[in-house]
Amino acid sequence: MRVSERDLERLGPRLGEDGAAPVDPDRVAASVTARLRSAGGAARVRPVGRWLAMAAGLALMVSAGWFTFGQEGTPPSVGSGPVLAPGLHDLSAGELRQVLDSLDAPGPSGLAGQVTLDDLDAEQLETLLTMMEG
Amino acid sequence: MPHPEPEDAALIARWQGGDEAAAAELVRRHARAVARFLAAAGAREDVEDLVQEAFFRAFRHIAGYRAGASFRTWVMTIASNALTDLRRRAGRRPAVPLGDHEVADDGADPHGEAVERDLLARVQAAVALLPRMQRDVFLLRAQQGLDYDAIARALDTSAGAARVHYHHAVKRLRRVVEGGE
Repeated sequence: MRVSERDLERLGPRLGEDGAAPVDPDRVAASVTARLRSAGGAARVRPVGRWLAMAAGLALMVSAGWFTFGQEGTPPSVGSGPVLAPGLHDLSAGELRQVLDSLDAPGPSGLAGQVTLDDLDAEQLETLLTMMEG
Repeated sequence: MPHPEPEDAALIARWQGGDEAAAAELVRRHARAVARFLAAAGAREDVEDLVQEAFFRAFRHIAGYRAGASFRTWVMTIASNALTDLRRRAGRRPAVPLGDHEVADDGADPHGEAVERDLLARVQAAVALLPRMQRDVFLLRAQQGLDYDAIARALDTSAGAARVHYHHAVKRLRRVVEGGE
């Protein structure tokens, strides 16, 4: 079955219609306000340092072994390749890491070193992302 | 018909002042859209519980809401977190069976409607399997009709990054729907 980007855009507004149909907004509103009453109203947000969230994300990636490939400590040297996704050149290193993080494909083989995404600069991240796009 | 954001802002301010009815009105206004977002993301019979949880978290942590942003979109991002939490607790992957989507039959083209219904079911199943960032970007754009700037604000990223996530989502959806995965 062939499907185009236009098909996806056309169907997009209909996604979730059936699953949402049984939801009763009045019933949800009553449940939410009851819970809020029990909880004592609005609460203050506990500030969490941005660095802490980023460290937690990196720790998860490393602990999952997602980006540890070998024994050498040198970041991989990767050549430039064709850019398939739009606008990759405009993304910061952090945004490229975010995109790579969202791809749950395994890392490419043949890269040496205990390398994490933080060891790569923007150009290397962009090249790696392009390679992983296939 | 979406409600203008200033009205949401006024209701939020009233809730912050302790007006429970304002919170209820915000839920009634946006619950259906949040439910559609969750259902499209792969939530099944637990959609209403997740909608409730998302709004509860939103009102409890209303200080995290940035004035000027869309309240509805903000709640959707909280709903996405709630869905992730639920799946983590349950230790399950999203599972969306094919063929459970009903399309109104206007009698115009039964075959065309059947094909459309099948395609919709396949896309629905594939969306639920996307990595979270791709899924959220895709739904905020294709389902909710947001532009990349609004998506970027909601997901704390840049418009360029949102565009790349969307590109990857579309590419993967096409691959899955066409039977490549």
